Amino acid sequence: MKKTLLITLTFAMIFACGKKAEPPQVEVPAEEAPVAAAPVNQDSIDAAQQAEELRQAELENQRIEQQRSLLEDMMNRLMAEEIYFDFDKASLTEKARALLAEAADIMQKEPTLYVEVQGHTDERGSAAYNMALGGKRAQSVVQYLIDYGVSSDRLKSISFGEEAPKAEGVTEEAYALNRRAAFKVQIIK
Amino acid sequence: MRWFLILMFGVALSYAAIDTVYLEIAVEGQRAIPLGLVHIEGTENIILHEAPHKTLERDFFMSGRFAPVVLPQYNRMTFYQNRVAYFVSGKITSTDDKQYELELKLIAVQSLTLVTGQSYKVPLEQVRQALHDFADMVSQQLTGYRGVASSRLAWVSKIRGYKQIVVGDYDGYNAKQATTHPSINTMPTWDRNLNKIYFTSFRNDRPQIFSRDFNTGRVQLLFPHLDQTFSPAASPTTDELVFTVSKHGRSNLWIADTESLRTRQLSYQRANETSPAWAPNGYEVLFSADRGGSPQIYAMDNNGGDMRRVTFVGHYNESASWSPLGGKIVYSSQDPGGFNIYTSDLAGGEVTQLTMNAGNNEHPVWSPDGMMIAFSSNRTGSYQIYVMRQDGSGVTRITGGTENTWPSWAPSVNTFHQESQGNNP
Repeated sequence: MKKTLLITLTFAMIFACGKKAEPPQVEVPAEEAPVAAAPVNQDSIDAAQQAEELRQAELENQRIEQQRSLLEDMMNRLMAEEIYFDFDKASLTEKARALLAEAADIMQKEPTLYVEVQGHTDERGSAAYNMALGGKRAQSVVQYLIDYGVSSDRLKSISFGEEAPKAEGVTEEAYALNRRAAFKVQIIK
Repeated sequence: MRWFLILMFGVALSYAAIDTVYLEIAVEGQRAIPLGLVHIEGTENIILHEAPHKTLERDFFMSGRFAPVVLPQYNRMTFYQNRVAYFVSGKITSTDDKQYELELKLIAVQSLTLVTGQSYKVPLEQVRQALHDFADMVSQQLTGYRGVASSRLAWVSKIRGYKQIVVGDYDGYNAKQATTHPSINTMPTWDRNLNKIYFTSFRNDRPQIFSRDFNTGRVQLLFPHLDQTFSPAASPTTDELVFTVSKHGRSNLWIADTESLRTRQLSYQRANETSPAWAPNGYEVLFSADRGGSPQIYAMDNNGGDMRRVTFVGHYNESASWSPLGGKIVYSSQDPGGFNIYTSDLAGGEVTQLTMNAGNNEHPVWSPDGMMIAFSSNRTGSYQIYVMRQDGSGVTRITGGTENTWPSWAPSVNTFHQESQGNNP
């Protein structure tokens, strides 16, 4: 955790150095400015630098969070829009594969993002068999991301079988919406 | 616990001809025996969910061994016309200590002699159990096989949006919640001694098998070292549990001792295996595997050896249950119109369709005497639990409400325990 934070801070500093045009932030809180023993000059520089580091770290956090929710939203939205799995099938459709390629790109750029893939089925058939099927579906998504180059440590497949339907009802539309993979994207530093 | 036989009732009369008729029917074996049932007296002073003769009539009919002939009062001619040789009658009286006394009798029509009788002193909530117990006794007396009207079912009920395990009588009455955690709780299976139930819960955001002890109320996560576990099946003869372990999208069967909690993998197929169900002798298990892409029923011994395919007809065959009588299985199969219940022998022959044109019919399980099958169906729109006779007749819905699925029949019948402080005769 400490190490990761340090790397993030270093990263933030490099980032800060890169932006030459921006003047250092001198908005130092009043009570912090005059410190008796130490040279005032050096201190204010340190404080400014610290504030800048914090600000950049904050920005970086926001950016990762943005990427995280982008990845999650994109996968979930697109996964919900179309039938990604045929009944009793776990193979990916063309559209799913294209989408997953995008997802894999984001994951490779953002090493702190970890993805749990949840496999779901419609309610038809046995609940136990659907657990196995949901696992197969989740794994086919995970395997695609692994094949694309994402480390398997950052991926996990969980099956919910038919237990957590997204749409209620016994129509083909409801079934299709429930045959899906859902994603939980976490930031682990 | 005070049960006593009511001795010597009525006057002995002789009608030999009627006896002969009864014997002819009995010799045919498979045919249901006509059984008279006279409305129970004294019910005007007791508030029950249904009249006692309705409870008894269902018990006798569902047992598959009797064809009940119900009359408001004893009528010898009507019984003769229906070839009834024996009838059940009785009365309920309330006692001073707010209990109920049931006197139930099995009487020969022709002689009016008492064949067997039983007196129960019970609180209101045990009146149904007393009736079930007597129905089982009558079956024992007339066929040599004790009935299973006193047996219990567990199933999954959607309660306030969460799937919970409930336990109730075989006819759906006296249902009580066995789990309360606000998550998905499903796939119950009974411990052979009826002390525990094993089930799958998603309370940790993944499927894991838990046990709940009925005596202590303790809920225990059984296999924390295994990633995802579900679909438990408890052995009818040992403390072993067969279940599915899922990891990296691969589902295989494992076996565990529920005392030591030691686990080992049972089979290493590339196919996904699930829905294990034990043979009555505890040496073999049925399961489903998707070796050819869609699930079929297979059997293997309890060491993972001697694996063989059981179902050959139908594209999708799943959730098998092995008849406690031996040579038969029941399972759910996908037809063009939905899922239906089928039985077959263990070589995949003698395939018989038991449900049709009635929505999806899934997860069939045998009663402990092999005479009935419980299953879930959405024939009325929502999934509910049904019980039918093993030939597909007598389909009876036993649940109502939002959604009820996945019945699991207790493998044996607990003796009826009466906490009676009643007087002896």
